[in-house]
Amino acid sequence: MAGIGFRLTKLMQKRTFAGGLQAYGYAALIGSGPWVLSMVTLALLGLVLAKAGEARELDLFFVTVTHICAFSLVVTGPLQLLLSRYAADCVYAKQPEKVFPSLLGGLTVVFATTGLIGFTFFTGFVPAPPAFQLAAAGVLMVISAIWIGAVYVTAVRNYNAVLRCFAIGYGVSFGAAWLLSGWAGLAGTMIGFLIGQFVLLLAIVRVIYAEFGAAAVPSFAFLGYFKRHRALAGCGLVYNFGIWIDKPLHWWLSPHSYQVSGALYSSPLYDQAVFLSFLSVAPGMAVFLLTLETTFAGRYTEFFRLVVEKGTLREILRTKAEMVDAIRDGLSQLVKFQGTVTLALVIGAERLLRSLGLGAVQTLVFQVTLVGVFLLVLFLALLTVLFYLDRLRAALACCGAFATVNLVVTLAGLMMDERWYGLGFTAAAAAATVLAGGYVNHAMRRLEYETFTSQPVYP
Amino acid sequence: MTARPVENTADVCLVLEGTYPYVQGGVSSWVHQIVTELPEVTFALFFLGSTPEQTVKKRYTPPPNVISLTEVFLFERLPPDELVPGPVPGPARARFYAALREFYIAPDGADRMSAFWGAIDALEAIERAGSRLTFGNLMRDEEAWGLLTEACERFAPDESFIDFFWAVRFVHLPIWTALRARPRLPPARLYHSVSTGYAGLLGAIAARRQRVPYLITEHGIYTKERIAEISQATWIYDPPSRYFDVGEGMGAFKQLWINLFMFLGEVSYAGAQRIVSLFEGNTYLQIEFGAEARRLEVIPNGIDPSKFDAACAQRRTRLAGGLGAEIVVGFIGRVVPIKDVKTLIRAARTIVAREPRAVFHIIGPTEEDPDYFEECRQMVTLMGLEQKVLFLGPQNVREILSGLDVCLLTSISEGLPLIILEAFAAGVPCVATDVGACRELIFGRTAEDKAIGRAGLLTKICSPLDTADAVLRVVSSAENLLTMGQAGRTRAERHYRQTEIMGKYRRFYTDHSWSALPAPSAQTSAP
Repeated sequence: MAGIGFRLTKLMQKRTFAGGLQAYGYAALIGSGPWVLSMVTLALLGLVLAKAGEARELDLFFVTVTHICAFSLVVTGPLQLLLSRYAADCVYAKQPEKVFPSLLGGLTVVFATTGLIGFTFFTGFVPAPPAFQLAAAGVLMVISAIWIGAVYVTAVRNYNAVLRCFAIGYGVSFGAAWLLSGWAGLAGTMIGFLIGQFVLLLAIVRVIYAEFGAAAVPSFAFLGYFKRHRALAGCGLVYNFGIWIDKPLHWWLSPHSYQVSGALYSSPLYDQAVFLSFLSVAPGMAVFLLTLETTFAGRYTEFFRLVVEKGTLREILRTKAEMVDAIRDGLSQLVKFQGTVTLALVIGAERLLRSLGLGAVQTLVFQVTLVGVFLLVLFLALLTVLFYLDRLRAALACCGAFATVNLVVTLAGLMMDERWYGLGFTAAAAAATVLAGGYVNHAMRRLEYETFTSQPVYP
Repeated sequence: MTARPVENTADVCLVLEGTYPYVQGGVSSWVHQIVTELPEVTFALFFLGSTPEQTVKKRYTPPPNVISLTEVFLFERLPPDELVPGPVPGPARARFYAALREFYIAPDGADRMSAFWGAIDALEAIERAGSRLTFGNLMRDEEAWGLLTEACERFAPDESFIDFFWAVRFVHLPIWTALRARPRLPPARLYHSVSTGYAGLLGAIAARRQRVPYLITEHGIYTKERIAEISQATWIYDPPSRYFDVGEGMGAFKQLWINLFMFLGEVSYAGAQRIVSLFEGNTYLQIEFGAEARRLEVIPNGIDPSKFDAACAQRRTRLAGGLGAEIVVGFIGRVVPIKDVKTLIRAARTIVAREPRAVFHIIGPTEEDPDYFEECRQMVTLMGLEQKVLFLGPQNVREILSGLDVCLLTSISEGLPLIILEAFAAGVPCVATDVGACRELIFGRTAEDKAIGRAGLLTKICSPLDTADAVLRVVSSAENLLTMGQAGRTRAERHYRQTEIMGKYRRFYTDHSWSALPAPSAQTSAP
């Protein structure tokens, strides 16, 4: 009899929710964790070493490390996010043995590129003793490698071991820098710092090996992700660019900056205040991490579990409402907590900075950027939600707005006067927060629509 | 015949789903007969297949009066541009989705049929305006999503949503592929679909748009066959029953597919001015599936009795001298479970016990279901009937018929079996199960037909005793065999003559006065 046999069986059985359950949890934190760390380090180094003596000499060390931090974060930004995605995919696909080789592959790539750049830059554009130049190039390589390692560290469950790594690493850095500075001056400081950072890197790699231990052969399979996940790579680059761009602009264009050595400039008026205000980020990040981990991530997982495991429409929509509540609660807690900290610091700014030996202009910059940091934490929270929801284009747009506003307003501020300093960063954080809020709102409103309708008809 | 002017409007567009000229079978040979025996009628063929891979080569070569062949594959991948939403202006899109909503979520008692045509009209209005609505629109438009979730809330609030989602998508995929093929329907003066289903849908749409008659011929009952197929299907998610409700029937997702085919049947039936079935039993099913009684007509399959004249005469001569040393009971057909050969073998034992002259010839291919054939053979051996039940394989039916005393059919299910007509033409009485058209064939359909007399006997299905009894009664005397055989021959000559049947279709095709019945779809067509 006329009629057509069903051919849908195959179609039905192959359906998947590709990418629906990828672990994005730490993506934004990975983007933020390293710079928090670097800011803290720089601020501490600045404070401790500045009191230790010969300011001029130490300036070169301090400024060099600042440049290294800034440059290494921007350059490794894309790779950090891609490797985190790659590692998450490996774990999701139940192939944890692929994780460690990808770390080794990532380190190889980073060593090769930053080694070449560092050697060229420091020997060619920074007049200093050759030992200092070489050690500085080494620090660039090792710090870049540490950022890559930090990606994997977030997945290590032995949290004490991780903390021990950083304690030992920074302990050795300080100690060796201190000791060797007496023996070989500035070059000795840099070499000592290099040794400490190298110890930190080794410790990190060892901890990661203990977690994912497998074949110790580098693998470069992750390089394919550059093509497949352009928006993600773009986020890593643009976000880090946006976070840093106001500083070099001040180094190069501010009337208060000066040439430290060759291509290296410094603008202490701006740098110290900004680095200090970044220290205020810690409490907000902690609160945010907590709410994200406890409520939002749980609801997120439940939402996709219901989608895949035959939940009814009503159950799915209810869970989505709970996700929205979790975001709202998390943000409101963040505002209360970080807001209190920020407010307290803004009020006490004058006293605090005077006790650290900083002046009135710096106090103003500190106050302005404190507000910026408060907004930045909100932005990061929203960015993380966007990563969770796989809205990478939206995330990229937010990062792009962040970088652009920072660049433009900072430039404009430099053409005006000191009262404008820091406004670029704060305005950028404000713009990015508003934009990301809009995107999160939109994405949540259309969550179930997007989750289903974006499924391809044919597998 | 004079050369006919070349023109592209065919007299008849045959809409064929999964048959001629690519698939072999009863329906296909019927279609081939029609196009071959009506050379003065021009045909355009519109073939609906599954996928191109399954439709590699033609099984039939259509004659020259077939002026075109269009192929559409319902389960072929949609092209990439069909998967992205087309730029449809907001108001036009809103009208389309409003009509669609009325169709799916119409309040009880609302006219779904006119809502359906409203949606088709909205779709065609979009196309006339130079735009195009794609499957991508149905996937991505927020109106479509709203409709989907509303339908879920309304009809399947407690079902797995992901299964609902995929079921809805997959139900619409072949429908959409069929609807996309609308512009490719060849122009014709009449549309004739040889089933309902997707073919019926397209036939109804084409005829409505061009305001020409639409005719359906159903060999089997499409809707019933699809329902049987779906209830057996394992690829549709059937939620575990929560309350052991045995009577509840099928799960929501199977019901979704069934609703689709039921609706396709209704659209086809409502659009056709005449609905033909092969025998009366099927007209009741058609009514059950939504066909209006006044549009129905029975036109059976036909045969050319003159081809069997020799066989008929030979047999008569043989029986004139009374029953022979052997009484040959013939089974002609494939040895497969649906023909229930095992019941025949069981009946054979009883028959042989009471009539030792009886032998059984099983004629037909045995390789389709080798396991079943093997079981039948073992049964024959176990019963010690090796000398009585013979598997002869495929034979020339016309030659072998003259040697048969009675033809036996034990099928569980049948349509209108051609073999009964062939046996009648050769003057061989038939004993057959009471399925399909067998009753009308053996006892007659109309009063005048019944008056011709019985051409054999009917039996219950799966009943060896009943079968044995009937066979014994038919072969009780040579006289009986001749009388019943003559009744069959007369019936075939009067009511199943191939030329008569072709004549009916010729009249359908050339004189459209039968279509004067106003079709409901024509009344609701857009201004």
